[in-house]
Amino acid sequence: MPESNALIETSHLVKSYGDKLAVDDVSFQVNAGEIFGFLGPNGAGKTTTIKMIVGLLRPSAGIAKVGGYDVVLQPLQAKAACGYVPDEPNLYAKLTGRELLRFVGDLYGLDRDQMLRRSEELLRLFGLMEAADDTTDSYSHGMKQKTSLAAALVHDPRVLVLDEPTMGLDPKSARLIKDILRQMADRGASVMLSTHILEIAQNMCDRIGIINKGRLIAAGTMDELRRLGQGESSLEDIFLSLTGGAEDAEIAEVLK
Amino acid sequence: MTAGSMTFHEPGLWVSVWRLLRLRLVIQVNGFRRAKTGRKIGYLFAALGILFFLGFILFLSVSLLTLLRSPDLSRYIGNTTPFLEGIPTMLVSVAALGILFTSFGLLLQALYLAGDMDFLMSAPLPVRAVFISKLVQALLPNFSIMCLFALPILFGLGISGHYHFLYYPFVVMVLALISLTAAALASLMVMVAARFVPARRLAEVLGFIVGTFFFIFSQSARFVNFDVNEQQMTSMLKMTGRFNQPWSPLAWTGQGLVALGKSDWAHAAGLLTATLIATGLVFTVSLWVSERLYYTGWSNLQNNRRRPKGKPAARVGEAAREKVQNPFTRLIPPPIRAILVKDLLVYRRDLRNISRLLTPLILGVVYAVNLLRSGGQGLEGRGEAPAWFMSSVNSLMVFGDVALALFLGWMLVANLAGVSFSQEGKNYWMLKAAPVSSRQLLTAKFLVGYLPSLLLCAVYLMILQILKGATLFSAIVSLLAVGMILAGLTGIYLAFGTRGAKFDWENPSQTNRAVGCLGMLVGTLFLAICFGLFIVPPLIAGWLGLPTEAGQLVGLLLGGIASAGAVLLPLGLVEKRVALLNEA
Repeated sequence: MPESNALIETSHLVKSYGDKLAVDDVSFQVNAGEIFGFLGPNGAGKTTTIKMIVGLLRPSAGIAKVGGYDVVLQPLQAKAACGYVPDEPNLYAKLTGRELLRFVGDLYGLDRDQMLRRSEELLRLFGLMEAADDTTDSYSHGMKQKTSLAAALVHDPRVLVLDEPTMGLDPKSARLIKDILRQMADRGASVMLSTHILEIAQNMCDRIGIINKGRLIAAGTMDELRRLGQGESSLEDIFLSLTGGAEDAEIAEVLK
Repeated sequence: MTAGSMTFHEPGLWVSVWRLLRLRLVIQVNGFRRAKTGRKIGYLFAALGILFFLGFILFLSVSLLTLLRSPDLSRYIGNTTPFLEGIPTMLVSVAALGILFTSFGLLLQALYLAGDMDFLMSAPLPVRAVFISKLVQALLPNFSIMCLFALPILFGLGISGHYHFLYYPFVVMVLALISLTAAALASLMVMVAARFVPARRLAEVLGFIVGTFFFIFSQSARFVNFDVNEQQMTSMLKMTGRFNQPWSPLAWTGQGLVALGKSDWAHAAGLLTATLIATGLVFTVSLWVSERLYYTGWSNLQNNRRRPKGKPAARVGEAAREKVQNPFTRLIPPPIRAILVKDLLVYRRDLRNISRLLTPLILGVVYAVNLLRSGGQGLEGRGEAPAWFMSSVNSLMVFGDVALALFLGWMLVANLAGVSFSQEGKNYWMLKAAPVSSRQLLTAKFLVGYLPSLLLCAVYLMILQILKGATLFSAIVSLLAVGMILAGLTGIYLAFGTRGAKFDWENPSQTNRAVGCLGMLVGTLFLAICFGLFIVPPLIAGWLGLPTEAGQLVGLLLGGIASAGAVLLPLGLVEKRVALLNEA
């Protein structure tokens, strides 16, 4: 694909904490209209990479671009193009769902009518209308997760980055999110999501990146990963063979 | 693994209690072991200090109580024996009531809001063991504080009265029993309350009520007359007798201890056995009922859908939004306006924040009453000080209302601007991921700290000025001075609060440390210097025979320059830091 088509782009991205390298020389692209799955074991560097892309962490070295804007040099433009759903849906506890969406709309500079229309649409879409006037401290985890996703979509971003988006959601909501992400990609947005559910990655994502110990060890379509995975056919087997988890699987077998 | 190797042996109640308490002990010991050397030394000094304090109170008690027993003193103030023998009952009663009320909040935290309850309740442990261990954990801090005062006095009573040696272990045992029973009753109260009000809301309301009550209580001491005459002293001494009601198990306890001390075995055995039965009964029943009520409160906590009463919250928010979207505030860019509206809504809805704002307001009212009671007049003195000195002091007194408004504003700004960033807590990601520049963020947070403080102080100052009968010119100058100084203070506290911002707090009170000692010091220094810049020129103008108004205008100019510097310089210095906030 041509480089100009990439809405998320990382080049030799590094994040270090003292001597510890959390992310080590990670380079990949997510093109317009593409859903990119970001996989890796716990502590591999997924969330750190995502946080650098959305501007929550400053890279120690390398470049991250969102919507063509460098997140360090043009942070406001990059952030304006991006919607982010964190792994933990920490929301302002004393704001209602409706107030929260309007607050986010204001932050992203939407005009008043647009902001009101979008927030009502999203509340309806995510089935939050009944609880829209309740403060979010009374929401269940799933409701918070949906509110968080709605907040990321208020400004209709060209890039959507999600960290474990389906965690804690019921099957209906998880399906809704998958449909929304697909629709967004079909409309030309770039979607990047990290997940532990390999089935989601296999079925939803156009391309998949696997990160282990801070390094991107593989990236490509399922077919490209199969070639890398020495003939393994399922994403689970490929993932385990690439990240060294196959030995763990054997131990688990012994414990049965 | 085979099923046989995983055979489960049901643990007994007390074995489980011991396991849970041992776990807590291990956590404490680990905390001490891993602490920095300086902190360890601090702990050791604290322990030595406590021992010294115990010894001092014991010495004082023995001396005083021996004096009260002396026949010479009895000849003057009458028979002191009823008072002395009423001390154990009084202390036990006060301890029981104190533990009952202070344990409520601790138990609410330990039983409903602590993160480990899910784990403990799903573990194969008797539920009763979990409750007992939680009771002990919640009880220990208050019990220790109570022992710090009650034990030396009770031991002092024993030493001064040459009580039997069995009195001493029984004192400790009885205090522990009474405290445990009071805590069990408190747990029952928690369960009943959590049945009707979600635990988190209950904690907020409780924090607000307790904080406000204690503050008002402490401030009311200013209006109390402490001159006590002989008659009042005698009636105070007789107060111990009021605790000695024959129907009260707490009185049986106190009387039982005294009987034991005096080797009156029959009375001691009867009264202490009655105490044991009564406390055991209350403890068991409370625990039994609590166990049955616990799950209702727990499910209430999980499903605490709550809508603010009256107008729906969204309409309240909409009203707030409309207020700040009038033509004047439309000048404020949308992101700044959004943060302003959000912060004011969040601040208003969290009772814990309101209680922090109430403190300055109560203080403001208390000091205003004091100022107005004195008529706002200058000092007369005894005629020993030079005339110029008295004239200066009296000129300063004229600015008393401005000083009070600044004092109120100082506390408000420290509470609003100092914690402005920290208050975001774990939600800060929303601001950080949004296209809002550091300057916009600082501006928004500045307005969040400044506008409410200015509004409250302006109203406060205007009321004082009207009551004082000040001229319009003086009122305007005072208002401008307060407005400018508060702006400078907001800049300083916001800058220090940004430097020390903490986002990982669980309780809003933990955000108070953000400004730090240095920040408080710099802010206070600025307040004093800037206040001086405003008031010294009018004083000099007075001495030189020039119009005071000219001096006031010069003061406004000098103070205004200093205030502008205090806004721009510190905020300019931390602007770059804002972009890096919350990056470990």
